[in-house]
Amino acid sequence: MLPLMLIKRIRTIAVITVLLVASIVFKLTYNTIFMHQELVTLASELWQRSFPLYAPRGYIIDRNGELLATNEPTLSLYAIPYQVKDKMQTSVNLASILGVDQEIIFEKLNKKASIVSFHPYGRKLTYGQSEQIEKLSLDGIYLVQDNLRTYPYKEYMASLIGFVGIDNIGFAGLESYYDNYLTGKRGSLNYYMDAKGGLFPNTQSEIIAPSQGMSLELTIDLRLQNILEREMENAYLQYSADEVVGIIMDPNNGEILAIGNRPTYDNNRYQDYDQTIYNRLLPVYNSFEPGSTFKAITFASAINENLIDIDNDTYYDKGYEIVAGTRINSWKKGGHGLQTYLEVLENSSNPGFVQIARMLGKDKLYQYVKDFGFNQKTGVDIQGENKGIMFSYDNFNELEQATTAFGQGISVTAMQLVTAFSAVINGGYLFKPHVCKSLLSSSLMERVYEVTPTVVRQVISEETSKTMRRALESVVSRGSGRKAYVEGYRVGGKTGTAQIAENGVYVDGKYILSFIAGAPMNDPRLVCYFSIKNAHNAVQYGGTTVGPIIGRIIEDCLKTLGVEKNYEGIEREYTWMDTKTAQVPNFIGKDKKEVKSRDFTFVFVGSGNKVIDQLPRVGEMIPIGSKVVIMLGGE
Amino acid sequence: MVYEASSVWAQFKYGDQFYFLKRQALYACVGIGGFFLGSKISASFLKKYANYFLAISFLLLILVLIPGVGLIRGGSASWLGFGGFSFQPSEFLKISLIIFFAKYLEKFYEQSDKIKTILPPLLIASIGFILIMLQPDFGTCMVLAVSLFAQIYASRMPLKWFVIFMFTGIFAVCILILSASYRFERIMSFIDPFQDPLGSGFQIIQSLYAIGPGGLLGQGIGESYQKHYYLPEPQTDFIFAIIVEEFGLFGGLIVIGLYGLMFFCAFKLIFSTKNIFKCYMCLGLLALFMIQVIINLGVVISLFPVTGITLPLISYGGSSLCVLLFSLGLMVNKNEQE
Repeated sequence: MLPLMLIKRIRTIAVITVLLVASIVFKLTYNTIFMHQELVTLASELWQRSFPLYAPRGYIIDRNGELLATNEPTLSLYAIPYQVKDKMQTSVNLASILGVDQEIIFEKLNKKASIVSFHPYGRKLTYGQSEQIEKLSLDGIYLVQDNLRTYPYKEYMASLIGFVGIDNIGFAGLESYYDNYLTGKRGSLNYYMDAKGGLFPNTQSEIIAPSQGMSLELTIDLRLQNILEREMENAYLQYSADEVVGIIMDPNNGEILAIGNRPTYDNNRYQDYDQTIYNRLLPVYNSFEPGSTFKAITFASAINENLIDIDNDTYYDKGYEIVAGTRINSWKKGGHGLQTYLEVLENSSNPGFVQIARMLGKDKLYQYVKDFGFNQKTGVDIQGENKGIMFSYDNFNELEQATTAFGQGISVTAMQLVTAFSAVINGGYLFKPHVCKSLLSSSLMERVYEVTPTVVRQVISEETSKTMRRALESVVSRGSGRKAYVEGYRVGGKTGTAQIAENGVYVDGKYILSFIAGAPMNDPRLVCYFSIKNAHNAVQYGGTTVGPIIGRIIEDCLKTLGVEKNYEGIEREYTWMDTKTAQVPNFIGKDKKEVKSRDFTFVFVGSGNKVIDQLPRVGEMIPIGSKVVIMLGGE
Repeated sequence: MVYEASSVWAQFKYGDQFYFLKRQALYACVGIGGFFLGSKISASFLKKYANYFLAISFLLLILVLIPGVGLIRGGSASWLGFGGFSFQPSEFLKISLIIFFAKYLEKFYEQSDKIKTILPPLLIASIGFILIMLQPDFGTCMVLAVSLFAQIYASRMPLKWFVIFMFTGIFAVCILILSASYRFERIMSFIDPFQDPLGSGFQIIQSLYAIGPGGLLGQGIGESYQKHYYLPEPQTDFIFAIIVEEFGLFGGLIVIGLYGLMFFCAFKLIFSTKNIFKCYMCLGLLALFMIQVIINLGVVISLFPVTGITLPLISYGGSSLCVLLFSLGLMVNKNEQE
């Protein structure tokens, strides 16, 4: 028999064994059951690899469905280093196709990573490159579908639309502003991989399809945009201008129908340009002294306050006005003389506006300028908007009030001016301008979100607005805006010529020539602003240089929109600048009775029946209806 | 099971996914031969020649250390080769030391309550430990030490000495751990494997990634992910992890249950024996077997730090399999005559 103590001690060993085995069972159960979920998640991360599948961005279309930004399917290069057998040869082949150093690729192929991408030279390959790589059928080298963003209209709207970077992320313009909506949801190709980078046998790779982003429908009308682009291009080249800016807006809802600037760039090749060119849309980015175009605003304010009766109240323009010791001249030497206030606007008489500013007074003028949206962002859905500059209320003294009234000493953006001008002629409603009309599903079949016009405030009354339409129409048919006159379309507008200030000093001979106009004035359909900065070889006068451009834009646009012509507007009035002329015939030696003409009236001096002299002389071209002085003599 | 766990690595290393299976099958045949051989050897024969066996084991161990004779595998010079085959002399030392202890403890059972009685065999055992540590093979050392400890525990030795032994043992283990930086890292990584997931914590994490996802019923036969190069040496130290990954908690419990059954039978056998020498020998051999099972499973389920001890009878490895089967054979021998 075994000693009792031996049996007891062995029994203890058995008990310890049981305890140890039990703790193993417990820990095993804990690991497999209670830690199960957590460990599965961690382990899956270890086993699972995924290839990114890039989602195409949403389209950008104009209001008529024309594609302004689209996607071109392309291929991007990826490598699974473990599967690349001959790394040296593969890198040599790829380097020659991609046009990069062989060493760079060799290094990538030797990376301890499950997948490597080749950034940026291996992304969005050309058709030729991918075909060559395809032909080589290299082990471990894969071509994965990608999307190349393309802009069919290149330089047109480039500043507005912007572009995307290599990862299809919006970098500039609307591509950046609406990036969240345009960006699609990235998909992936998920598969299980062993520790050395090989595929697991018997596992299914799972494809999570990428989904395209939402599409953006713009308020832009490509047809109108093309007209604007044509005129901007012409003006830019013809006048070797520094900058050209243009906006066409629907005054009834704040929709931007066309917008752009020169210089511009091709957003398909943005890398070739300087950042200063592509990062800004000038109509919202630049602020400048508006000059006389601003008078429309001051004028409307005065009417709204019932301070002037534009047809009956008069102002005598003696050629200047003294404000706080400073002489403010009229652009016409000697002044325009006695004028109604309508004529003050037609003639763009600065002293007249000094008087209007006095009548409005500091508070009213300041309030109206603010109510029309100046010195604050319009809230347009475009990046980089400038709010302009204005005197602070405390510094808004008599002289500042006077200059602001005719558009100097205040800095505004073209967008602010167009928005305010729209309010002047649309019944008084200041709209928040916008360029996005709606968000569409990627299929373009469904409207996800529609932008509704937003009225910020009513600035002037319907009645005032009606008067302003007549006044502005009269500026074009009878006043300084004559060159923008379009037969049959009742154009109303205001010219502007502002000296460019550089570092706070006006530069001689450098002007921003501008024109803002709406049409037709019986039922405004569009407002168009156009300006040329530092035009060379041009008459430095907004009405003369920009007037015809505005006229052409409005005529072409209204025709495109199918607006019927209307001849009930104010008749065009001819002045010396463009009146009909006739040659003075010879009256000398003729009898008094024979002196007759359809074109001229006559003044007779002296006595007798024979004409001995005449003024002007024979052959001179003088306006029809002019007086010809006839000197009589003889028996 | 060895095939299951090793096919991927075998394909990669030797170009033959059946490589380990073929070899293991061969070892199994030899091992079964060893089992029958062991079962024919009577306890009295072993007792009679115990001292010679021990002497031969020491000789072989010294031989291994001579450069050019021993084969270096996995950083340890623990192999002796004859022709196409090779074996580890330390495996023989384990058995011969256990037999030697059994003989000694039987002889001096009544005096074994005095510490001086135990000292001579301990000194002899120390020589063995030093020889093994020179290879170095910490795992074998530890397994052997625990087995001998179990044998001594079963003597009349007062418990206070065990407390002293325990502390000395712990102290020695600490010295050994601190003497080799890799052992220290293993301990640290056991405490927080995720601190250095690619370094010392790697094996523990990979083992957990196999076991956790196994769940209740496992991924299915051949569906292990972790054997695809994630888990190093899946056919040896971490074979249990692959078993649980493929067969789940259910499969793991069956394996543990089978071992438990074997332990139970072995204890029953020990209690039924009337011969003190046989009792000590069986206890030592059982402890040798049990401690390997428990430590291996404990490591795999991250209960113990990584040691490098294989799972008896299941892991790949010829020497170990043959010796284990042989020692089991020794245990089942019925001849108890003097």
